[in-house]
Amino acid sequence: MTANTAATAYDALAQAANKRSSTQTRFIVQVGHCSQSVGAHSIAEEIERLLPNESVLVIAGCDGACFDAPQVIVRNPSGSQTRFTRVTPADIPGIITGGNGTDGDDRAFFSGQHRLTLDGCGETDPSDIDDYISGGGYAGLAKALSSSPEDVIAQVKDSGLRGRGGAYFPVALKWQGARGVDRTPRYLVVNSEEGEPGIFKDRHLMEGVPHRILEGATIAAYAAGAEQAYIYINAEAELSAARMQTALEQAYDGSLLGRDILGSGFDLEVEIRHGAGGYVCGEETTLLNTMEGDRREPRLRPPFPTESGLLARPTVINNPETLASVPFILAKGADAFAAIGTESDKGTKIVSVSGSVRRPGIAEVPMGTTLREIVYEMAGGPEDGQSLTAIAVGGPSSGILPPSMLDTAIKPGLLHESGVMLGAGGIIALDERVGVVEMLRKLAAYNADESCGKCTPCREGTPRIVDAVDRLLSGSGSLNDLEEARYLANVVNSASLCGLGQAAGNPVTSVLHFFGEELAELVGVR
Amino acid sequence: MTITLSINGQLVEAPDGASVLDAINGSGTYISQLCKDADMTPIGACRTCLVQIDGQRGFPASCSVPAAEGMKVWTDTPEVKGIRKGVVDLTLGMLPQNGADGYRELSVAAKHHDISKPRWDGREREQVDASNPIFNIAMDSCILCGRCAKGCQEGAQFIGAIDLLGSGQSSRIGTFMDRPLVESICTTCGQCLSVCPTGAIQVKESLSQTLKSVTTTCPYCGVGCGIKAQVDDTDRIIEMLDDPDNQSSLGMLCVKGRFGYTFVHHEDRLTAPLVRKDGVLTPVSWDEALDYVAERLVEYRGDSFATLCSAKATNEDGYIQQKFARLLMQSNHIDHCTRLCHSPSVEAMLTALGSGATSNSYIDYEEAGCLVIIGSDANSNHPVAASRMRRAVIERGAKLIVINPRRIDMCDFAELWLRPRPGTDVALLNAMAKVVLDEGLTDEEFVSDRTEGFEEWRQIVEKYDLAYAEGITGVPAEDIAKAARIYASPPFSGSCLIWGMGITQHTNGTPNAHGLLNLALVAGQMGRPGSGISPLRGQNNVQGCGDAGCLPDAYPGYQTIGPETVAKFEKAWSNHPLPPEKGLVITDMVEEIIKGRIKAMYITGENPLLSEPDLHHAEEAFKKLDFLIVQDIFLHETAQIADVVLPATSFAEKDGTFTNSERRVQRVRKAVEPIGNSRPDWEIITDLGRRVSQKLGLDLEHEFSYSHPSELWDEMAGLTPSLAGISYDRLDAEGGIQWPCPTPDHPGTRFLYETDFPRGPRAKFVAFDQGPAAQEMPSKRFPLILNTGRILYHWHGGTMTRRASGLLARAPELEIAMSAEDGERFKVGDGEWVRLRSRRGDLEGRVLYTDKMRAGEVFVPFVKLEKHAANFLTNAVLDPDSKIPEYKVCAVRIEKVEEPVRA
Amino acid sequence: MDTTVVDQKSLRAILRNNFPRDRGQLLPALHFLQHEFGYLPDWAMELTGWHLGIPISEVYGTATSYTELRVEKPGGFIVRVCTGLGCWVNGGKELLAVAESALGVHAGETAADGSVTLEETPCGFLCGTAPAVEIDGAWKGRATPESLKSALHEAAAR
Ligand SMILES: Nc1nc2c(c(=O)[nH]1)N[C@H]1C(S)=C(S)[C@@H](COP(=O)(O)OP(=O)(O)OC[C@H]3O[C@@H](n4cnc5c(=O)[nH]c(N)nc54)[C@H](O)[C@@H]3O)O[C@H]1N2
Ligand SMILES: Nc1nc2c(c(=O)[nH]1)N[C@H]1C(S)=C(S)[C@@H](COP(=O)(O)OP(=O)(O)OC[C@H]3O[C@@H](n4cnc5c(=O)[nH]c(N)nc54)[C@H](O)[C@@H]3O)O[C@H]1N2
Ligand SMILES: Cc1cc2nc3c(=O)[nH]c(=O)nc-3n(C[C@H](O)[C@H](O)[C@H](O)COP(=O)(O)O)c2cc1C
Ligand code: SF4
Ligand code: SF4
Ligand code: SF4
Ligand code: SF4
Ligand code: SF4
Ligand code: FES
Ligand code: FES
Ligand SMILES: [Mo]
Repeated sequence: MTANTAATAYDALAQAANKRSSTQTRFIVQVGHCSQSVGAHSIAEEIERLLPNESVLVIAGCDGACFDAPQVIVRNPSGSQTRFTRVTPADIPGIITGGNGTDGDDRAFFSGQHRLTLDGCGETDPSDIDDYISGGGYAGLAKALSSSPEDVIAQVKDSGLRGRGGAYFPVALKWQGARGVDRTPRYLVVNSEEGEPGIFKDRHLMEGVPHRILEGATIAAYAAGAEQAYIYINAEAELSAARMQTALEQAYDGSLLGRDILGSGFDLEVEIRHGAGGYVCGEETTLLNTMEGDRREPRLRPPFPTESGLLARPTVINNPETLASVPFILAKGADAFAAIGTESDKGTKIVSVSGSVRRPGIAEVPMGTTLREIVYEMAGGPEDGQSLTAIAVGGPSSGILPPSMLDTAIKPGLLHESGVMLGAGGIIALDERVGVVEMLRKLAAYNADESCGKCTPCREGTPRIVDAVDRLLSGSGSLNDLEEARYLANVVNSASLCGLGQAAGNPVTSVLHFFGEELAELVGVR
Repeated sequence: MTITLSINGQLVEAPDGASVLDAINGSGTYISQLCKDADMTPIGACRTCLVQIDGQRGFPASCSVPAAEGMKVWTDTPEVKGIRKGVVDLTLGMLPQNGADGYRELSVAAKHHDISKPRWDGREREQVDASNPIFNIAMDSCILCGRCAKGCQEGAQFIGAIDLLGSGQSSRIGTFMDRPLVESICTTCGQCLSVCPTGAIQVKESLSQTLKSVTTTCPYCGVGCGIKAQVDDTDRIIEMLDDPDNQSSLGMLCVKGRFGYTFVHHEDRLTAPLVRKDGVLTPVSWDEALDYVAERLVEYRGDSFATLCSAKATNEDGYIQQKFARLLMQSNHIDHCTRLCHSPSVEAMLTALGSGATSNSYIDYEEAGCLVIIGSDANSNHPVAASRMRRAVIERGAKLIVINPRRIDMCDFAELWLRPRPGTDVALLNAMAKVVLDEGLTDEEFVSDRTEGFEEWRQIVEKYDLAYAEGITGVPAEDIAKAARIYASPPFSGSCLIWGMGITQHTNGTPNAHGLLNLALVAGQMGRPGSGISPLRGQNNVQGCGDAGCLPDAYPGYQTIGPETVAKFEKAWSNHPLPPEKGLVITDMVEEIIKGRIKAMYITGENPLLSEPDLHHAEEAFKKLDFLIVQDIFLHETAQIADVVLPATSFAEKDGTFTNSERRVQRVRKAVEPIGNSRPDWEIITDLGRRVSQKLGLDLEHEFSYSHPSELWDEMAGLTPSLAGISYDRLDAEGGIQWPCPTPDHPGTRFLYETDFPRGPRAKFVAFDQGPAAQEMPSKRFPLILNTGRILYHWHGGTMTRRASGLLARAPELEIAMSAEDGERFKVGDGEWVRLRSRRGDLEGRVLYTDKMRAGEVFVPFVKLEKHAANFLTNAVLDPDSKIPEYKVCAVRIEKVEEPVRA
Repeated sequence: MDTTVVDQKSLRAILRNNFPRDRGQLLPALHFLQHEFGYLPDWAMELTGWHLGIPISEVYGTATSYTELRVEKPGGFIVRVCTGLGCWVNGGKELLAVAESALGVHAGETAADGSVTLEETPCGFLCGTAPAVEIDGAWKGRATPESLKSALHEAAAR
């Protein structure tokens, strides 16, 4: 090793990548899981068919403006670019011939963002490693490999980075934990299961900037002393898997994975694995069972995965968003990261905004941004004629806030003590078209359906919560049913084995807290 | 090391590594715990063991939290008790009925949490799986704790017949494709039943109240599992539990150990001595019977008397029986079923090593990197040892190699299955040894320092190149080579060679056994943990029967007959002269009866008229005897032709010791009073001994006067160096002890041959060439090879297992296992009734098509069901060295016959 | 893997060549089977268990614990309507009703003639283009009752 070898090797790579910057016009079509559903892939095919000379078609991920999908960006060699939104086949001749863009009303959507993990997402070609490198990609890895693993851990510690999978565990601590267990091989697992309704940001990252995840994963593996990594991808996220696979192969080809990475002596093998459905697959110990061919159920903790995880070896499990934050920290410094967000909560968070808003999509905002900024300023609030009645934050493991709580700032952990958490950053705005009890019923039923069935309180308690809500819905409910739901929520949350059950009561507790009067009215009691 | 922590404010100690739950249980405080089995790692599913721990958030499950020094644990604060109550209530809500009674551990938990009526109505769930004749699984009283599945799988048995199925609300316990249990690979071992906290898995008949529990040892096979007989107030065993403290079985049992005990109380038990009067066996008093026997026996003192001892009876029974034969009857014609079993192994091991026992322990199977199971169907015949072998494969990644013409269940776990033609193992083993030699896998140091005869052997083995061996055995050369490589260089630890009757019961039996020993020697795979050689012993006490000297050529502890030994025992036994010549082995006895040399026989606990080959021939012989005494617990085929039948007690009604396949001496304890007027074997023999002594005027009565089997043990141990350190006191205090155990402070011996061998510093290579595969090969008239052996649910001829209703129900008919290919060739369909005929006899049974059999070979267990038994067909040719019959190969033909009409 | 399974023998060969004997290969192998057959036939699970050295009850226990693996043969094509909150509030509720009436089955059922299986899914992870429906593996975003009806027609005609 090596301080210089990694840096030198990287410089050579970067030079080669930059040299290729072209004189061609780039037709960038944003094709992601969701934009595909509104025809982005056919747009791409059509553009490819009509592609003028001296130009290239780039199939990128999306930039997060789902409301504008499908989108095409035409970038001239000069650097100027034109953006076309909600593209239909009829628009294509105009795009090809250099027509005017359709930059709708998305300024506001982007202006509130601080795009750090999403940097370049939607423009960078995910299937071209040079494109990523020429934007500064893999510089963080080169720096990491020029430092000691302990030093990398220290930098990440200083940055204040916490896990973005929902639990916000300090990242450096986890790496250090695994590193400290003297049993090899150690493993790194990238938890790209993302099975939580209303959250689709990891897919978005994998589709748009797969190399950033790989880079972060490689740094993490180096720091934790892992020599084998797995990217565990939801089996239905086929596009994500394909893009990650391409990225993997390129990284191997570029000596950024495999043996002796960037000449540093560090080896890392990476492989893609898949789950087979169900929210609980994303729970880290369940995911390990899946990888070992066992039933889809969590394991007991302790032992924790950092001590005994995959095949009973020390295992670090991180969310892709977490890992995508790491290259920035290494490249730009812990301080640069810590400067973003608030005093106590550092960095950015990707939120998935959907439901009753004009501009649903994926946005990366500094910690501390308020829900109002997100739902109204960026996402535009409900369509005309609708009014906001509630916001489901953080998915079915979390709870529901009333409009009066819009000034709540996002931060790791609890947003309100009634059980509302930021979780992985799902924000679903709701309006009168879905009543509060119906909303509660959906969340409760979801938890009951997704209960893996291993432990009694969750398996038996969650359906009984649904029964109680059903009685309320049917109009035959009584105050007892409210009490019953509250009682069960407490037992389920307190007694369950894994995070799913431990949070399954949260929708109930938050709804009872904020919408108690409405419910009481419903059952005819004041 | 211990940890001190506080539980509800009280300081308690717990061993290092204990969980908080262990500590609570150790402290005597009750806490509910529905999914944690005492012998298995925690599951964490029931959530009824929640506690509060100072400094920890929420309510951790005590079963999964390690106890730590200074921890403060609270089990019954209102908060945690309230949460637990909610969980117990939700659990009760799964069950169909109102009320909380009748669900065993769950009911106890309910009571503790003051729940008399569940808060919720029950759930509608699936019905009962009653397909197993012994027990039901009532799905609706299952609380999905997962213990049964864990017990069936990696928690204990490594069988995997059942698992949790589905998810969430559809979770259930079940088999592949939700099929009935009997259609699965379930072995009815009952592990699931033993761990079920609610009684959802329960035996069909209702149980009475247990009055006492007696820890003893299983009477069936040589694994030697610990059992705990539950006895009710009518002095009947109502249930058999496993014994987690038993070092050999670690809390496991197989179907026979758990459910096969019912023969004890069967109405067919012999309850009074029978003497043949006017051709009819007639009940008489003990005095009359024994006086009569004594009077007759004195006529046959010396060479015309022979005795067969029982590998089912205790060490003490065996010891006194050989003493009786030698001292009073002046005959060394003493043998037992090992002759039909592992005599080639013993023969070869005595020659090559100097001792005829298994060199290692079951724990070595668990620690080995490679297990070779050859000519043994351990899943059926040594089920609990097989569980421990599967543990090695599944948990530790040991490589399993199966060598067997028949596909046995163990093949499911095998890295490699070699399928030799029957009787060709010599060639196979020689070829494997040659691979070891050729590929530099020889343990040079071991060979040069600790063996002799290497060069002579090497020259013979040289010609067994892979192609030659493939030609003889039919096993692909590459597989032979692969097996040799894995065996000689296992991925970790050492290699164990494990074998059974497929090796021994051939006219090549002794060469086969030498082939195995040579292989172990050249690879140096013995004398350290995780390695060794294991002839899996068959009967529960066949090891002990040999140890006790029930052999024609040796006194207890394999002290070979010769002037020195004879002098030693003469001195010990009142300076009375003892016969100097070695005696006859069983198979020779049969021939000598026919020749008129043997005229009187005393057979205890053996049934030659089902277990000998060529039964028509054997019956002819035994009928020739002047005087035949049979001492047994049932009136079996041999007893039916006896002159006197003496009713012995079963294992359940007596004290003593059994020695299992890993040389572990274990206690047998009396659980119930003798049935009828039956008496323990040792008592019958000593009583008889005193009478014979009197009749002979020998003044040797004191040599046959004992008040308890422990006195017999002490006498034997005093004369047997390898047992000298073992006493009943130690066995009671420590559990089983493995011999050699020369002194009272010796811990016993896990594995042999660490530094030298009983024959001296060097073991011996003994070369053999492959002889003819068998004496009788298929011909035009008899085109099929008959392979005989065992099935899980029956014991030998079936004298005991036919009288254990559950076992019989599991396997009521003789099944003739064959390939569908042969079925089509001989026009017999699956499930059809057929006759199998050899040159010597025939049998009838039902065809079972199975992909376990290769075309050209059929398999029939030698249990007698209805009137059909395999030994009418087998061939009484012998391996010249060990005199074992060739049970594993004879030529037969098959024909479809009309199925008899049964009531 | 470019081989197709025609019978037990070919499946054995495929398993041997593509899935090392390691329990971790169970899910990949089951995914392969489902891809090949549309579900997990019992005989194929059996062969897989034997090949990987996993008791078949555990293969089945594992397979049935995953919501995406099917042990029963589904209909000729599969329709999944997203009924997650994001879609629900944007018209998912109506889409489900449309699908049920157009196909004549309730969610969770397969048509008696085996032509189609209709399911609900709690999220298709394209909430940004809600409401969404998946027909034979292809997601359609911003679906309307009209677009759904014509897509169902098309699928049924295939
Ligand atoms: N359930 C049950 N258990 C028993 C017994 C019982 O009766 N019932 N009996 C006990 C007794 S006394 C004994 S000795 C043991 C016996 O236990 P095992 O030795 O396991 O008994 P077997 O079933 O006789 O035969 C073992 C295997 O040898 C194979 N074999 C046959 N010929 C050959 C050959 O040429 N080469 C090779 N390599 N294999 C061959 C057969 O296919 C068969 O699977 O079981 C003990 N355990
Ligand atoms: N075809 C064929 N034949 C074989 C074999 C084969 O593989 N194939 N295997 C051979 C082998 S390995 C063996 S070991 C033999 C076994 O042959 P045997 O030893 O003849 O068989 P078992 O039926 O076990 O006989 C034991 C008897 O002991 C009785 N008994 C049980 N407990 C007691 C007790 O405490 N006291 C007394 N006195 N009696 C008791 C039982 O009732 C039973 O009658 O069979 C051999 N025969
Ligand atoms: C029911 C449940 C589902 C989860 N799903 C995911 C998921 O899809 N992706 C994820 O990264 N973490 C998920 N988690 C959290 C993981 O268990 C784990 O904390 C996380 O992957 C750690 O990564 P991080 O520290 O980088 O956030 C889930 C947790 C629970 C309880
Ligand atoms: S989440 Fe991303 S991929 Fe999906 S539509 Fe929105 S921008 Fe496109
Ligand atoms: S809490 Fe729910 S999801 Fe988690 S283990 Fe228990 S039953 Fe399974
Ligand atoms: S009896 Fe034994 S083999 Fe059968 S299901 Fe129970 S534990 Fe498994
Ligand atoms: S059958 Fe008994 S042991 Fe098995 S899961 Fe149900 S309650 Fe537990
Ligand atoms: S394995 Fe043998 S000793 Fe153990 S219970 Fe079964 S028959 Fe008895
Ligand atoms: S005993 Fe601890 S969770 Fe069941
Ligand atoms: S709620 Fe329908 S795609 Fe997420
Ligand atoms: Mo035996």
